[in-house]
Parts: sequence; C-alpha cells; structure tokens
Amino acid sequence: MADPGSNMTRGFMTRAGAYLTLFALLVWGVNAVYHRQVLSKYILARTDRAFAQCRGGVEVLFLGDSHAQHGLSTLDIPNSFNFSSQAEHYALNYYKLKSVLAGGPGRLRTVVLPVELHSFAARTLETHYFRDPWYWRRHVDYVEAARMIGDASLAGRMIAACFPFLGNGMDFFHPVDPDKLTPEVRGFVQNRDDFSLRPDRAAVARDRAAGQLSGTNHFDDRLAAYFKRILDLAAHAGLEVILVRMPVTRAYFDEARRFIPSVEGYYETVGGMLAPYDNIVTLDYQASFFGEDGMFWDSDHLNAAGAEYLTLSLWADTLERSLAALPDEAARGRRRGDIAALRFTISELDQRRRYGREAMQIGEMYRAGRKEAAMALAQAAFERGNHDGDILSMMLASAAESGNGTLGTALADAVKTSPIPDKVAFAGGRIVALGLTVDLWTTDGNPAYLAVAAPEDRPDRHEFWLSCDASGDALPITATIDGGGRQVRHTFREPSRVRITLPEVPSGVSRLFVVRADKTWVPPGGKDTRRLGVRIVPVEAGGGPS
Amino acid sequence: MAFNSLHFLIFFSVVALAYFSLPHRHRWVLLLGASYYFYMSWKAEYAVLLLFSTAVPWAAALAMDRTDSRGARRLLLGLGIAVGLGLLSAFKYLNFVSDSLRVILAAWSISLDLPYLRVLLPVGISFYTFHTLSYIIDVYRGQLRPERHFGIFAAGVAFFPPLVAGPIERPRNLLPQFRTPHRPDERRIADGLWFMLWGFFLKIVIADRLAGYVDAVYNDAAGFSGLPLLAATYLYSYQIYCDFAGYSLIAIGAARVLGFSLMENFRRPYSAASAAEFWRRWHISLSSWLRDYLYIPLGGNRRGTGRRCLNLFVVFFICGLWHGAGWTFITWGVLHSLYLIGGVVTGPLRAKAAGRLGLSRLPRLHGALKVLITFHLATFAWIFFRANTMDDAVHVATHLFSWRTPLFSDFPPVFSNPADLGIALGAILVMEAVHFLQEKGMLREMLAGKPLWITWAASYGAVFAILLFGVFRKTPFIYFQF
Repeated sequence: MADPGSNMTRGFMTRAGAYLTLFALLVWGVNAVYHRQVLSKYILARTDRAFAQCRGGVEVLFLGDSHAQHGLSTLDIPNSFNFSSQAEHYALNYYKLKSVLAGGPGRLRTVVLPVELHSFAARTLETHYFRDPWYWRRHVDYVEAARMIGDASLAGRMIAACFPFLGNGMDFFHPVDPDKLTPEVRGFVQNRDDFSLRPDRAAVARDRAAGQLSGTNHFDDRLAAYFKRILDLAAHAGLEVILVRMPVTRAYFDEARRFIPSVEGYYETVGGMLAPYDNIVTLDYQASFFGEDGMFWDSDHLNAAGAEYLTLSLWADTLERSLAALPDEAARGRRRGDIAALRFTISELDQRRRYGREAMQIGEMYRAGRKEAAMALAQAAFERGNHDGDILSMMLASAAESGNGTLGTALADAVKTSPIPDKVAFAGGRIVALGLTVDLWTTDGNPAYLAVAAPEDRPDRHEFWLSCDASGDALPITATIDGGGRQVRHTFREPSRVRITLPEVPSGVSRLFVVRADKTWVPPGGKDTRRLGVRIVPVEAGGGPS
Repeated sequence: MAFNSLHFLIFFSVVALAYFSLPHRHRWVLLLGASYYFYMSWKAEYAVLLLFSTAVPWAAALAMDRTDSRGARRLLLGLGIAVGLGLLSAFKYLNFVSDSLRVILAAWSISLDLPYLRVLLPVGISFYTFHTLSYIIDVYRGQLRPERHFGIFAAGVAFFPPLVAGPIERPRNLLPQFRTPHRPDERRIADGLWFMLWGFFLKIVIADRLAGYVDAVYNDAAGFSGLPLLAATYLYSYQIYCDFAGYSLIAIGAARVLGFSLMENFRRPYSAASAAEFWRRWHISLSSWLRDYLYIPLGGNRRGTGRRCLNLFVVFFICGLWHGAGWTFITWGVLHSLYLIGGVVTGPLRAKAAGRLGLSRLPRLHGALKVLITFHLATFAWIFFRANTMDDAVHVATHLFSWRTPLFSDFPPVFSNPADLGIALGAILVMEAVHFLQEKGMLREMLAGKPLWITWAASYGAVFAILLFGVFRKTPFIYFQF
C-alpha cells in the first residue's frame, strides 16, 4: 500500500474478504432457493424435465416457438416430443437441437420445425434474444451467440442469467399454485379457447402481425445463418427435417401481407437455402384454416382442435411421402394401413367441423326466435347425418314439446352414439343424460334431457335420486320430470333428496324425459358461481355417473 | 456508464483499488484518466468539449492572476463566462430559442430558416459549466487562488462522481482536496459505501419502480383524469426525489470512499415548512450556487421587497431554464418563484392569520400544516416538470379533481399489481423512517460501536433488499438530461 501509516490494515483486508465471501455464499443460497421454489415450476423447466425422462424414446421432435408449442400435438404422433417454447427463434432452436444431439441422436429421426412469415424477422431475434436466460444458459453458447448476433452487453446479461432472483423478490411471497400451472403433455400445450367467438378478431390480427413484422428487417441474415446451422446439424445427425408453414387465420395473413407484399418471394428465398439438402420436406398448411377461426385461440395460434387436425394431417402427409422409401411391399402395406387410419380420423374431424359450423348457424337462428325455420333446418341436417350437440338439443326439445316423448329410433341412436361433450351415460348406456353439469345438476333454468332406452325383450323402469341443496330464500324449488304421458313433480322446501320412479318404458322403445327446475340458486361460499337447479342421479348407478 | 450498472461497479472497484495503490503524487493522473473514461463511455467525442470547457477557464484564471488591470480581469472574466454559457446555450438552448422564435414569427406569417442543432445534449454540461463558472468567478473575486497545475484542475472539473449530475461542487472546496493525501481509512470507506448503498436503494428500489406508474400515466396524460393523475403526480414527487437524491448519495459515497468530501445535496426536502426552506433542502448545491453567484450579486434581499421579489423571479426563471430548454421547466421555475414571492409578501398576513386561528399556540400542528402545504405546492409544481408538453401539463393540472366513477376504473394496467405497488409504498415508508432516524441522529448511534455481526447483518439486509426488490432495467437518472 502506498500509505503504510493508514489504518487499511491486514485486519481490514481480512474482514473485507470475509464479508465478500459470506456475501457470495448468501447470493448462492438465495439463488438456489429461487431456482427450487420458483423457476423449477415454470413450464420451460417442466418441459426440460419431461424431455429428460423420455429422451431415449423420442423419435419425432417438434422445435419452434409458441406456434409449434400450441399447434403440434404429441397426442397424435407416437413417440413425439414438443420441445418448443414461447418466442423461441432459430438461434435458440439451434442451440436446443445441439443440446439434444449432444449425446447422439438416439432413436430420434425427425425434426419438425415451423417456417413462417415472422421466422426470419429481426425483431424476433432482438426482442427475444435473451428471454429467460436462467433457462437458456443450459443450452446456449452465449459467447458464440453474442459474436454472431452482435451483442455488446453480454456480461450484464450473463449476470441476469446466473442470478435470476435479482429484482424478483416478490416471487418468494407468491407460492406457485400447482393447480394453476400450465399443463403440458410431452411439451405440447393445449389451449381450448375459440378465436371465432371473439368480437375483436380483426384488431387482434392487426396487432399481432404488426407486433411481429412492422418496421423490421423480414429476412435477418443472423437468423438465416442459424437456420442453416439447424439444417446442417440435422443433416450431420442423419435426421429428416420437416419444415411446416403453420396455419394462420386469413385476417392475420392479410395483415402480414401488408408488411411482406411478396409472400411467395419470401418463401422462394427460404427455398433457395434448402437446395443443398436432401433430408428436408416442406409442408404448407398456411392457408388450410382460412375461414375457420374456430381452429385458433388467437389470430395465429392453433387451439387444441386445430392442433389435432394439423398434426394428423402433417403425420399422414409425412408417412405418405416416405412410402416409396420403404424396403418391401409388406412394410408399404402396413404403412398404407396407418395412413388410411389417419385419413379416416381426419375425415371424421372434417365432418365434425362441417357439422359444428352448420349446427352453430342453426342454433343462432333458433336463439334469435326463428324457431320454426331453425327446426326445419335442424331436421334436414339431422337426416343428413349431422348429429352435433346443438342439433340434437333442438331435436330433443322438439320431441319433448310435440309428442308423448317417444324418441324415434334414429334420434335415440344418435343421442346414444354421438360424441356430445356434455353427455353422461348410465346403466350401460341405456340412460343418457344431456344438458346436466358434470356433477349432474340442471343449470341456468334450462331443461335437461334423459333418454331412456328399454331393451327389446322387456319393459324398463328406473329409479332416481332427485335432490336439491338450496336453502333460505331460494326455496321452495319445484322439480318436474315430464315424459311417457306423465309428470313426476316434487317441491323442495328444505335441502333434501327424494327417491322417484320414472314411468315405465315399453320394451324396444326409447323415451325422452325432460327435467326442469322452476328456480335457480347459487351455492354459498362464492367459489362455485353456477346457477343450479336440481340434481338427478340414477339409483342403480350408485348415486354417480358410470 | 450509469451508476446503476454493472459497468460502473467494476469501474469504481478498479479505480478505488488502483487509487490507494498509487503514490499520492500520481493519483490525479488516475482520477483524470478514469473520469475521462467515465465521461467518454456516453459519447467519446464530447470529451473534446469537456476539455475545451476546462482549458478556457483555467487559462483565463491564470491570465487574470498575472494582471492587475481591473479592465483586463473583467475582460477575462467575461471571456470565461461567455465561453461556458456560450457552449451551454448552443447545445442546450439554441433549438429551444429557434423553435420558440419560429412559432412567434409564424403568427406574423414570417418564415425564417433558423439554426437547428441535430446533436445529443452532452451529458452533464449544465453541471460542469456551473462548476467552471464558479471557479472563474471565485478567482475574479479573489476568493480562490488559480490552480496552476492543469492536470489537477482538469481532474477537478471532470471528477467522475459528481460529473454528470452533481452535486455542483465548488472548486474552492474540491481542488484543495486533490492536493491532500488521502489515506485509505476504513471508517470513511465504510461510510462511503453506506452512502452508495442508500443511494442505490432510493434509485433502484423506489425511483425506478415508481417510474413505471408515473410513465404509464404521464406518457398518455390526456387519456386520464382524476385519481390516476393525482396518484401519478404524488408518486412522481417521490420518484424525482429518490432518483436525484439517489444519484447524489452515490456520488458523495463514491467520492468519500476515495477520500473526497462533497457537499450535501438533499436534506429531507419534503419536510420543509416553506418554499424558502424547501430550496434550502432541495438540490442544495444548485440553490446555493444560484444564491451565491446570481441572487446576491443581483442585490438579494438588501434592496427592498420589490427588488427582492424581482430577484427571486429572475433567479427561479433561470433555475427553470437551467433544468431544461422548454416552457414546462420555465413554468416550473416561475411557479417556485411565485411561491417564494408569495412567502415574502404574505409573511406578516400569514402570521396574523395563524394567531387568529390559534395555530401559533399549537406549534406542532402549525408546523405540520406548513409542511403539508409546502409538500403540495412542490408536488403541484412537479406536474410541469414531468409533463412531456405544456398541453399535457395544463391537462393534468386542470383535471386532477375531475374524478370519474367508479373511482378506480381507469387506472392504467400497471397499477393492477398490488404487490408491486406495495413494494414501492413500503420502500417509501422505509425511506421516511430512515430519514427520521437520520435527522434525529439515531441511525448513526444505532450502528456505531455495535458488534461486527450487527453492522454486517444491516448491510446484508440493505444489499439484499436492493437485489431482491430493485428494478434492474438500467433506467437512466432523470437529472442526466439536464
């Protein structure tokens, strides 16, 4: 030291050293607790853990951003894993694939990667280069990435990556509720929202397209370089790469085209990069769902229904393309069988989509008061085979209003066999309940239907528990069950349950019973906000649905 | 290189270690180099401007010292002031004057091609210009002997802790400290680090967190009325205080670690009981500069009430202009001048009213009322300081009480996170508690002479409060723009 007379003594230096050492230990401890208590619950960490558990058996790997995460279903392709994550661009895709292949490709043979209008946009890279660095530092070589991307503030970013608790102290006071974690199935995240029901679709599409594409270079060289590296890596590992143009809504596509006037030119540029490779297949589903906003949860993300359809189509197309490469006719025959099964499932989905659209339009007519016209259309649709839930509800309402409640064979069969979301079957399928909640309550003042089919050889009679838990001002509540030319009626003056017997259903006949409550009530406590009526459960079902 | 960056922490650690490792005679070289490196990290080209702003007053002061001619001394003083103010005006006010003239001439249908400078305002120019102005004025007045060593003088002007946002240290206080050998004193280093820690807390935990709320409202001021405007305005009072006081504390602390004493810049300004007292507690280095080099030379309060009021108006008009080349800042300054003039003019009347209301018999209540009123006057003036345009400022000022129902319906989304707002308000309470203890002298007593583990625990507590609850997005200090 320059000033020997100072009191900057050896003791001070020792204390300073001890202080800093203890400080470092405390930082390490807090950081470790933060990782364990908070970050390990994030979907990124959970997906990594899920992959670690099944990596040996993965044959098909989906990579990409949230479009792939929500749009490529692991439920529909055996031995697949969706390793995509929100805002994951090609630079990150590359490092993740590199990390996956670090121990050799194992059984992995196919990589599915989206190629979309925003895939090479500079903003994607610049905005999300260092998103969630605490996670990405496991995969990314940041020194290399900083050089390639031209990042001058690597040190500061690495601090954030290594010490994610910085500035996030409040996370310690908000324990993560396990029930609120986003569920994933081998990395695939399902979203069941229906974009077609949103009134602001045009605005969403405009904002989404502008957010991704306005005022930015649409073909960034850095992302192109990483894209090439992905293809090189896959080729080196002997993997097939399926490049997918993911479906978007027409509204989004039109908005995106304002920023990329020559979409074909854009894809030609991408195509030019693929020339040196022979392991690449490009599948274009971009316009597959134009006019089908019900397949999305926002303007450019597929929902669960859209993901199922896309994935099955993608897989069927992929299998078909690889047919010729199979070594013998026997293998080709088996493959053709697989493809036929997939195509059949797709055709069923197609039919359901078509029927769903038609049923929705007829239902809107019905609700708008044009009941007669709607019923006529519903009858016609039903006869054409449209057994959508809305159509069946209208047919049942009509049957309940018009006759003695005897269901025609076709309607009874349709009720029994159609995949209607809120259908509950009891007694080996001889009783089918429609319009009840999952816990078997009538709701919102609407009627519920019980379709009871008697066997061919004997008449049938069923007993039910009819109950009501309402109390106070909500009582009395009167429940009526009409059908078979009779009415069963009970008035609840206190919370209770009664055993009732429905009229006998003659042998070989299907009969409809309509269950109504004259009032609704809301369960106390505030957690359950449904407006319930009465609950009806077959006695023979043991008090619950089979 | 902002204080709230990793870059600064590394830079400062290296400079401090190197400083105490060098013999005293060479330390000025290190500080000069480090200070220029610090300044050039913003924009390297402006180092030339800093060098020029240093060389002219240094040479003028030396020439002044060599001549006995009063005229020549005046001429040199004029030259020094003209160069300093000239550069400041060119960079800071030229565009404002051009814009204002253009608007006025347009009203007369006259179109003129007025000069417009398309460059960034050099960081800290207002601060180092006032520093060099006080140097040349002090030398002219004979209150300071000129510094003959250009290196030491340049190190004083560019001394990195207060360089870009103050305190505006007086050369007569700072320059001699470059000649004093500073020994690495453990107590002083610890003191300096506590100052820095407290400054970081104010800046990173409070000011930067409040910035999100304030910006959400003030950047779309016309879209709000009533409660959101009121909430954002109150929060801004604390944001600006914590931001600026935070910077000053870090600067004072960093200087103290190196052995330098800088002047206090803030002393609980929101506990002031009058506008005059507010200015004895807020940005003390600027208010005292304006007092010493402008208010008193203009006659101060020695030439009657009328002249005193005029002097206050002139000083605070310039104070507003110093803060920014815009009508919002000028209005802010003028408002404060009106508060002060009002204070002078209504003094006897207020004393009489307090007597009639019986407040003079309840000094505590009277004092608390005065503090409350002063705080609200200052807060109202901040509206003009913060607003992006004069139209926005007028909208905020006139819609503070246009409340809509339901009351909490039209807050921007950022207000919907109660935990985040809770941290901000909790941190403000902590700050007020610390201020209270500091003023009573209890904080120092509480820590002095305590076992090591207690002081360590306290410091770890403070460090982790910053690490856990700070906002780490490198928000620049507000006063950098001045």
